[in-house]
Amino acid sequence: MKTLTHVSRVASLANRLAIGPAFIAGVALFFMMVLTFIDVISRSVFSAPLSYSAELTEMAMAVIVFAALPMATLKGNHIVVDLFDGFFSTRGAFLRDFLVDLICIVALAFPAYRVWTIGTRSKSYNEVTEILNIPQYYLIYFVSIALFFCCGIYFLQIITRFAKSPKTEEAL
Amino acid sequence: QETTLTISSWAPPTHGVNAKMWPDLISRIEKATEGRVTAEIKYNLAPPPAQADIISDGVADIAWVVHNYTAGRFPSATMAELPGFGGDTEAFSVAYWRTFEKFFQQANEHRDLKVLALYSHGDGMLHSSTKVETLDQIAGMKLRIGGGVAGKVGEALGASSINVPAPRVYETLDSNAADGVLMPMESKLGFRLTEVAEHSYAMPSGFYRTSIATVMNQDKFDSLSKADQAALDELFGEELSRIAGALWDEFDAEALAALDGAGNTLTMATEADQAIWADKSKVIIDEVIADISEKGIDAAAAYEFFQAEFKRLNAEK
Amino acid sequence: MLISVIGFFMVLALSFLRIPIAFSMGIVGFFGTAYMINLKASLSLTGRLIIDTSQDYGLSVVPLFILMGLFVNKGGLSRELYRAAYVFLGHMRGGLAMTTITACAGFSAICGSSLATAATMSKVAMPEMRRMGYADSLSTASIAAGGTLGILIPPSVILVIYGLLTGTSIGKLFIAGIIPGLIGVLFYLLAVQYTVRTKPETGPAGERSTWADRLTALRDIWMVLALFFVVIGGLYGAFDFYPIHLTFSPTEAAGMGAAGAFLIALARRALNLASINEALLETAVTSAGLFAVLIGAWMFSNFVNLAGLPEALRAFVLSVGASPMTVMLVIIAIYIVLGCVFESLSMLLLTVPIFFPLVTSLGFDPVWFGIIVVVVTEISLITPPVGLNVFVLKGVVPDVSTATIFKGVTPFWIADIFRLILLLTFSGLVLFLPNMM
Ligand code: NA
Ligand code: NA
Repeated sequence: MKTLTHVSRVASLANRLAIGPAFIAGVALFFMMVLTFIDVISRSVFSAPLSYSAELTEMAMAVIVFAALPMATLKGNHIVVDLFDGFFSTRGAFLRDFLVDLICIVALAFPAYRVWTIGTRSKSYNEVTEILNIPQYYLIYFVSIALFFCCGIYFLQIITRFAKSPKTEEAL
Repeated sequence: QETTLTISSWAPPTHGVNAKMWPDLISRIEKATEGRVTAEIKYNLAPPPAQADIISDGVADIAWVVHNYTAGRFPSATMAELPGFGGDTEAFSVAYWRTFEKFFQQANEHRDLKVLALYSHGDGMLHSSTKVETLDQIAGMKLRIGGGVAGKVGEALGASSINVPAPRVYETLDSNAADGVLMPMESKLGFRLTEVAEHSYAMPSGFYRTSIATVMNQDKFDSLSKADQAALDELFGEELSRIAGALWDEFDAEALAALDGAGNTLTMATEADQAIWADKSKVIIDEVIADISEKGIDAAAAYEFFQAEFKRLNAEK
Repeated sequence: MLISVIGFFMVLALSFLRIPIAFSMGIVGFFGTAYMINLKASLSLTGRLIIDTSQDYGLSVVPLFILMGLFVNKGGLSRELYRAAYVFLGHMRGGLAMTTITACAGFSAICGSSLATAATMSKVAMPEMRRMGYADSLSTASIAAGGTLGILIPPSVILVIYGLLTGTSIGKLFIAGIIPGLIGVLFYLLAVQYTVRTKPETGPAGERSTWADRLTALRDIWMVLALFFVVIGGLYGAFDFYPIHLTFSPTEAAGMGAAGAFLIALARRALNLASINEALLETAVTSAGLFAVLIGAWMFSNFVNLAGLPEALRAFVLSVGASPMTVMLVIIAIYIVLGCVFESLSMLLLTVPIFFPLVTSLGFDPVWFGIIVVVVTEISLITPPVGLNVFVLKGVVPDVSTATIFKGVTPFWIADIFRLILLLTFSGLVLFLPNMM
């Protein structure tokens, strides 16, 4: 029983890791919707378009996608092909899922680190957005951090899996 | 042995850059190196703003970089976008290169990149669906305006600005979300503006330009044989800038020739409006020179030299 | 060409091991690019793609069109759409299945995704059809098939992505989807009729509604219809007159649609903070998944691009000397085969960059090809073994076996094949409306 509480503790940690950023994503999405609405009305009716709306939309997009990515990871929202699931035994499936999580961590960690260094470089180049002159590296660092969050989710998933592994269940 | 360089490009394959500029460069590289070095074009490896990065990281070897797509990174390039450079793009590009060598190069803005050529698109002008004949008509129009100096120009003209990426220009105009667009003459064909913005309004002294560079990965260049490097350095620099500038003149000329057939018009600003614009643009020029001066470049001297070279070369044409 | 083909099978192999498809494509793309250039360059390119793809202005359409559908659903309008279709069709044999198809088409007009259309309508239609004694095979199949219309009848996320990939006008693609979408509805209705005529017990007739009922039901859905006409009409430039001058680009149409749906749901007092939050989160999470696939697919297509596949393919076709129509038929056959095993968006992203240059160089219209691609993608959603719409249904009604759904859906994808032949033969059906723009 003790392992199970650990499991739920790890699971709730993963949940907390995902829910905060997901909330930010939702706010950014709502903001994008309102921004577009105001821009269209302001342009059509008052002939006064917002020059920065496209730029803010682009930034909001990146925030939506990456802030929601940890939650997408957690919910297993990634599209998978489960065609051959029948071919794996319980233990085989366990090993397979462990390897898949591990591969995903590696496949995320390297780009996450690379994105961070691109952010640092962008900072040294003084790159800013065209209209509002917002430094580019804020958003780039944000993307990198979000990717590391996803690595964290996969890591917690591995821990949960081991805690719930067939072996542990036998021991109980 | 033979080396094949990879050119990273974007914009449709029919665009002048892809249909003419790159094939021309490839054949010149082959000729200079007696066939030891050649190149091939790869499209859309990364979006336009990422081009400088993917060349410095060695993803591809050569690319064209629009400086204002990465605002803040190439401050000196904004000088080449200023009003007052109306005229021949070939002359402009040669003057630009000479100014770069004398004033900008030491600021090392193109880190890890070998600059092969500097040029710009032709004179930026207004293309709109309603006919514009005077400068004050532009005030209050909704215009699609790109980044860089063009934004300041739009502001000075009193237009309200819509900022959509270039490939979305056609549908923005088609749906009447914008009344017009600031772009060079060449775009009349490149973005099918003949169909959605039938009237053009140009300023002989120039509204603005957009600074562009052809760049190469420095390590890749260094990996070529000494003989090939020497041969290519004959081509790169002022000579390639001249060639690129002349090509953009050609692109503009083609579009200009197509106007009549499409029932489009071109109006030149009157003397009076040119004088008004000279006053308005003075503000922009002073502002940009002050900005560039902060980066440790003698911007005032550079601008004077740039203008003098351009005026001299332009007059010779 | 060989290395690209190997890469392609590597993607298949990895995804069969249950590695998410975004990662399968990304990993193969990453190592493929590293093989073509070097590891450092490949890593840099990956970093840039991650940063830049998510900031694409055109792609902001995707979450907004998903959000629009969700708000409409939260406003209770999906139920009323169903009701409106029922009062007109319910009394016929198989009438409830026909109601489902029609309501799916109606919901497609405000929802950009096929999966969302199937998921939404299954919650509304499935209980009704069960109550009326419809066979599970027909009920589930009509929802799964009707749901596919979501990506053909505008708005459509898939058409947006096709437009962005190929530089084709999204407005024209949307308009071009209308007639093939209506043909799709008609053919699906015929498929229902075929099913209930061969097996009458699968779909009993219901009661005939009075004209009073019909008018009431129509009055309930006018807001949905109005929303569709504002969004699509704005794209078409229908409201560009004094003093409103209301015109939208596709991105703006999506934003206006989402905002409009939000206001409608708000006006009907169907929203509270919790349900708004829920709709926003669901949209963001779905979008994040889609973008992960987009980034992975872009990495893969960069690799086959670097490996010279598009050029090799064109050279191959030219050397064989096949006629354009033969090439088109081969491409469609490839799509249908891939569609059996591939998830729809990844299929599109993998293939369009390869086939599009070839197809246009052979003289086919980009808008027409876009619609053809979407129709074959629709087919892929309901063909075994990987038919995502079928899986959506399976999720909603776990007690029905996947095999039953696939069996029931057979007449529907055969109807799709007929529609495909029709559109191949008469390209005017696709191009008539956009050419009027
Ligand atoms: Na739709
Ligand atoms: Na399928």
